[in-house]
Amino acid sequence: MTVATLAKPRIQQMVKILENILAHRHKNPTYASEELYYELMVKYYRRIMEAVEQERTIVGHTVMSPLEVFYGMGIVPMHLESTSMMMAILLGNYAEFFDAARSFGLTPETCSAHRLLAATVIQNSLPRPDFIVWTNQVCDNTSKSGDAILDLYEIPGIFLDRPYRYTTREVEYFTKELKRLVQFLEEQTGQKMDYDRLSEAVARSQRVTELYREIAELRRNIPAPARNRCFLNSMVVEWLYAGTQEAVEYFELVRDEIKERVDKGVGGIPEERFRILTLFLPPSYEWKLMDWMEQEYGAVSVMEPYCSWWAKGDMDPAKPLESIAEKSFYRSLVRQMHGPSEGIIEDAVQAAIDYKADGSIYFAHIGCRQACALIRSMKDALKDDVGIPMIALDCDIIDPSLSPGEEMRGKLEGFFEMLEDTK
Amino acid sequence: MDNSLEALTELKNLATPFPKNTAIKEWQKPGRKVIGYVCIYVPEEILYAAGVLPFRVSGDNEELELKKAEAYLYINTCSFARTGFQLAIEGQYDFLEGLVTAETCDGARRLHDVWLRYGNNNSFTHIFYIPRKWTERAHQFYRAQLEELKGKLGEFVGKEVSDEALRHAISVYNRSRELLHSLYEFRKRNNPPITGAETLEVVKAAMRIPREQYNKILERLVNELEHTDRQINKRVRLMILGSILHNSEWIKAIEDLDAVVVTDELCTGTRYFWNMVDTDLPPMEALARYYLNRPPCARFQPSERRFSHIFDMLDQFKVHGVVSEIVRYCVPYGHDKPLLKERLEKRDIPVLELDLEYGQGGTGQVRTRAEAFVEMLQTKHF
Repeated sequence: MTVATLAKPRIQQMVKILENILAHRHKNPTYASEELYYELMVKYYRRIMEAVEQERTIVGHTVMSPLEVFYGMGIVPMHLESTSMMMAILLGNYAEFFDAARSFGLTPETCSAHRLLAATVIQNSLPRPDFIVWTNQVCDNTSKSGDAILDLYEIPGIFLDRPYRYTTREVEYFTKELKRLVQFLEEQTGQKMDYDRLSEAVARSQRVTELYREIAELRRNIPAPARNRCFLNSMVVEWLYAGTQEAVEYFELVRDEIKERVDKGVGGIPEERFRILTLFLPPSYEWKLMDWMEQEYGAVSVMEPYCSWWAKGDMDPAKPLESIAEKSFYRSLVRQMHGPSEGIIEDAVQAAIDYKADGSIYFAHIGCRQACALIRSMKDALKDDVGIPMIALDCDIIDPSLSPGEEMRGKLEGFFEMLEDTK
Repeated sequence: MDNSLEALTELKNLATPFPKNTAIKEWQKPGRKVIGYVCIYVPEEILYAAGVLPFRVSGDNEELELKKAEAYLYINTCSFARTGFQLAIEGQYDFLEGLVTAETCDGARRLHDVWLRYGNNNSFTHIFYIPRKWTERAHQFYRAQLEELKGKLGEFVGKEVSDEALRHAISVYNRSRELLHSLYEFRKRNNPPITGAETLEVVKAAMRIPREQYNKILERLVNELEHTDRQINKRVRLMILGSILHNSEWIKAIEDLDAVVVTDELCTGTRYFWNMVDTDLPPMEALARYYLNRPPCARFQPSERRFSHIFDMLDQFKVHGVVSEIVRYCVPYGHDKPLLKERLEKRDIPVLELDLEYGQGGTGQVRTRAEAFVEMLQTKHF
């Protein structure tokens, strides 16, 4: 099959399934923000589908690429890892994709998210972008996966080189990388950057950051006012919509829902028993694990230092590129994953204290070397400085064959029993 | 008849035991400092100019039990990083007074993190980012990073690192490069006088003993090779490429077959010493240009520049086949593997792909697969 015949039906299929989920949510409402989450997912992939149909410019990009710049340019972004992951989840074709990645020559030690991405490209399942933007903002995998995509699609691309430490020099270097990105996008599209639109996107991005922090403050309350799904949904929305009005509206809704519960003195779940610090990410195929924790054990994630925590820093719409560059050094997931360990460990210890955590769960994604390398350091810090236990749960962020949900639930049961005993 | 190379024996004697070797013990007697470094993008000349002996953190000729390291670094950390930390936590790197890490990959940076937290109580530690590109901005940025390192080292040793000291260091290290190039020239012969395993020992010693002492012995070795009638009479000419490799026994196991390793694309080989630092430029500028423009490892963008160096080596050294070794969980090389394989196949160069643990020997399955590979190349070429 050609790109046109396989990618198009697959993205259409994804949209159809997401619409069905949304319809189900409308019929069985929970929180309005959870419905809005699915509305935004439908909208995101529908926009890609329409861009394919209308032959509009699509930029494929890896995680943490500067969305504000793409929205400023008025081009359609396609988050490569999220789209391929969502495709595997919704269409259930993990085995087909992993087989394709293996045949291509990628070893199982390569992060499954990036094997999956390569596979969707090899299989012509992903809509073919006009060009790609990729960065090293999370790990070696994100910095390397662009090579194969360029090679397979034979399209242009630009790699954004983001340095390691949060210093003035490193921010300046990354700002210049972003200036080069703008030049690249202008060359590719034949259009000029609309700096007013870019500044507006930066202003909205700043608003999302403020809302994230406001929500984080509200989440200190006991009982915890947010459900476990909330942080996962929020993370995905920010990954796909940073710089847009949709993101602002979503986070305002989340904030309002949480505030309402705080004002009423009620929690996100009926009976809170364990306050959990969640480290790194639960497997994408098993987000239901987070629901199960709530329902069976009253275990609620009170803070996620890797993916919900934004360190100090603000964006200035008058200096859009500088602000976007700087954001990459304080924003969630990047500061933690592509920065010295002191930052994430200090953040986690402080969060455990501030959010009065009883224990911590570290999702040890086998393909994620830089996150897993800190498991012992984190465990010791949480035990020595806060006195709380941590369980490391071996898993794979994408591949369900490595660690089935049942196995993880079994391990967590033991952990919660231990927490119960120590209470 | 003893066919060993005298100068090589001398080098090996000085560089053993590993890691705190005979030469280091002598170096430290008058109170001189040794600083460990992770990754070859830390310019040794800057440390040397500061009066410090740079020592590359690594393992050596054996695969270690990594249980102690695995208590601190998860099993999916590459075994190179775990090996370095294993030795640190065993106290074998206690002779180091500092650690400088080039932030080149996830393994290196997390080794640095964990070393700081649980490893040696070093009085000097520093980590800095290496750009993944070769743009002019990247050079300027890298140079600024090196200036910062130089300044910190000057403070540590209590004396500013002068341009004069840097120029001297560059001339000393360039002399090593010149000699290593000469050594590699011998490997272009139809029957080279030195094996791949021996060459690896020569290059490793450069990172482990004082450089002026090293150069004197290397000069003798090159002279010895010039005048020896020693020949490695193996037909199949191989190139090794891929992740970091220190175990020369592994190469020896391949060379026990009808094969000789004539060149490489390793950070313990050509990528370590290829080309020369430009002595016409101001020293820090020259170092920044040289180090960033070395034949790149797989973490740089785009990969084509790495591939070009590989193809150049293949042509220059008349290679029949390539052994690609990738340490498990070494992500950058893992991503390059399919792209490189496709390009090598187009050039009709067969590839033996081996996924290994760092330090692994050449026995068992590795040997079986190497035998089959060499037999295939024999059939193809002879």
